[in-house]
Amino acid sequence: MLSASLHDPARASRLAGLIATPLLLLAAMAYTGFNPLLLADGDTAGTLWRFVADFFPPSTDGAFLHDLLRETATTLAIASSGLALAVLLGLPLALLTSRALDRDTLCGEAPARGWQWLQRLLRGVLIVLRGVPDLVWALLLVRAAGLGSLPAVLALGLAYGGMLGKVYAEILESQPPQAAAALAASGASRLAIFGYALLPQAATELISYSVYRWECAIRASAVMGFVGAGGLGLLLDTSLRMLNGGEVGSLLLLFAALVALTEGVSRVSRAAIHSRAGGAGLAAGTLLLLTLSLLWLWPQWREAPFDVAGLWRFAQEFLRPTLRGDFLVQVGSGVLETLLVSALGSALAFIGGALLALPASNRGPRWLRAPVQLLLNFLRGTPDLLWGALAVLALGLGPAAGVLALAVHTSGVLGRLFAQTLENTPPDAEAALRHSGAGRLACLCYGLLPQALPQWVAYTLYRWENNIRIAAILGLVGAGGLGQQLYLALSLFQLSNAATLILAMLLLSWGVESFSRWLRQRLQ
Amino acid sequence: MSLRFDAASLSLGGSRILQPLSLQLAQGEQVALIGPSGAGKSSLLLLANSCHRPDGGNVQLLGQDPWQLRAPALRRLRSRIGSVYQHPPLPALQRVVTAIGAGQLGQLSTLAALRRLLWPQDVAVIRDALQRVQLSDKLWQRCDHLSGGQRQRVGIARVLYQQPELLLADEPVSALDPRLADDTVALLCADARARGATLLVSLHSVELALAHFPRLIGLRDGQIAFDLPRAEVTPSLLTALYAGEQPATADEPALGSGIRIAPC
Repeated sequence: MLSASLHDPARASRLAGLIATPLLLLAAMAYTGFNPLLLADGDTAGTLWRFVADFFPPSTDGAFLHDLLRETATTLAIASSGLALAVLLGLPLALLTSRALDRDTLCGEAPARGWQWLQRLLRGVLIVLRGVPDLVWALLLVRAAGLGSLPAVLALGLAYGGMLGKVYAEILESQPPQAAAALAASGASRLAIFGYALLPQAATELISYSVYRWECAIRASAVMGFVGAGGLGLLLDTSLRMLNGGEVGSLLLLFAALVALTEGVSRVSRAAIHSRAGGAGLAAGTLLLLTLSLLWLWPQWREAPFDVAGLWRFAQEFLRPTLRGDFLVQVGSGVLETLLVSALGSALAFIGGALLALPASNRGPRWLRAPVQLLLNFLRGTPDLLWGALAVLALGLGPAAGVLALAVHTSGVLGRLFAQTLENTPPDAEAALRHSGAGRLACLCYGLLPQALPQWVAYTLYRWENNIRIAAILGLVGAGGLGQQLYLALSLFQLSNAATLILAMLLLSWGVESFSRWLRQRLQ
Repeated sequence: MSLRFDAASLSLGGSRILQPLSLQLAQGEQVALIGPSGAGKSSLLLLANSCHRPDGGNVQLLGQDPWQLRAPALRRLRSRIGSVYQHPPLPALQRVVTAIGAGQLGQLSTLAALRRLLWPQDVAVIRDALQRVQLSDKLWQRCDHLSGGQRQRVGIARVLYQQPELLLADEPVSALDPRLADDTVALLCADARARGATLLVSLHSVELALAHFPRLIGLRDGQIAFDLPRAEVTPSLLTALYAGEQPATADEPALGSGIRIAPC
């Protein structure tokens, strides 16, 4: 019988991990200037507290409420028509690029070379569309063609179109291929295969994902105004600049209500898809919403004409990115800063999410559950950019504010996901330990966490992919990184610099996506 | 008395699992629990390790009523009772050394428990426990790399490491081949004897029960059919106990709620 050595074969890597993790975190903190103690500092806490205390009572000024109502309608209209545009853009692209409709995979026909190149090109277009954050699209369109709600709709359409194109294609690819293969073998066209074989299979999933994206679009369009693209963000930006706490308070309440409302609508409509009447109701509702949105936005679009020629000039400037050495060094430091802000923010959110998930899933005092769940909703529902603006107030301009904003917002997102994981974990291992007399914390660490941790880490990595894009735009409100440089470049009309910065954002988000995918595969 | 049931009964989800039943195990006694599937063997063991609370009658464990104790005292009592589960609940990514080390969590302070999570402690003793179930080469493996039989033996090694005064085992060898099963039951008996601990084991195999245990309890439909010394257990009693049952197979299918541990 072989006997294992008494020395842990993994001790070198464990030791390295135990030492390297805190060192890396500390290094990231040093570079971004984020010091958690700063929050406990009397001055910072005092400033923030005075501002937060100003939220109460929320403003009920008549003129302000009138603006609020108007901009809420605009926000909803932007989100709805932006998503419609995204579907118009994403669906055809998905149909053209999805491997589920390729005749060579379905029935072994040799594909034409030209067609393959076209598909590759279109996939590249999708990557660019979704790699540039929606807010950056909005910023570019505003600079190129003027303020207003049309740039916001276009920005949402482009960024979400790229996302929908990829996800729709993947949904089609995840369907059982038999029906499609049978049609392909009998010579049906691409569109016919989709309509007769894949659409009936995948319809509910496609619709349910689109509804979920609508929910996201509302959150996104609520902050578009930060860059001058209309909607509630415009009011929020003004109120924040004027340090008008009462108005910010009203806006925060409105955001919370809007998030709750859209989550409700989203839940109801995802349930409705499954019945025929529900499906018809959903279709009618969508059409009605879209018509109302366009009717609402149309007068605005007529008043503020969209400068198509400007768009063209702007695009031409963009084809000449600056590649000077000293500027590239500057961009490099922006990339590093953005990377560290996103990584440190996500890591802190992992800790925060874990601490909040325990009471939220009933592993703390029972009375704590409801308040913590409410807190999670609040952290999650307040737009990340707003957290950025608040963090800048607390910590001053710079990357430290970005870390704080990401950590706070992502704690809310991860806390909810982590709590779900805990609720789905089989309780056996924990119960067995409890019945052999182990204490609460020991049960948790030996029985529950080893089971939940892989899922938690995967969620955090997914979220990090998302946070790298957010970190890139937090600079628009002064929270450091590439966004701050981009805002500066666009303000000074240095378009070729801006082009380089956007290229860097694309590369960064693509790089983090690939690294995170690799890491997730290794951890399995 | 190490274990004493006085008309203890158990209902789960509205249905009666165990009729009021009484039994006593003296300190150091070794008893096998047999009976057809669904007779309530697992539930009886879960009453005996204070996982379930009896809804009638009284349960005394190591001279104490667990349901009259305050939390710290209950913890101390539970740390003296060891359970072996048919499907040991071992987290997939946990290493064997940690899973076995968890056997002594009841005796350790929270700080010590967290310390050995970061850095393995007491490795020599843990390896000895693993050696006794013939698995010492698996010390540093992850639990999801073990077969069903190996997981069962890791569960047994955990309880050997715990060194409880009352040892309860629910079908501890159901996934082992006949020779290994025989060795393992003998190991449980020898370990309990050496420490003067009390042993109650439910077994699917009547042969194993007759070969290793001086006293057998037959359970059927939540009631004690017989509770006799080995010599008085006759073939006709056994036939009556298993009447209407399919012949025993190697691994009894999981009984749903009977075998999984309720989150109590």
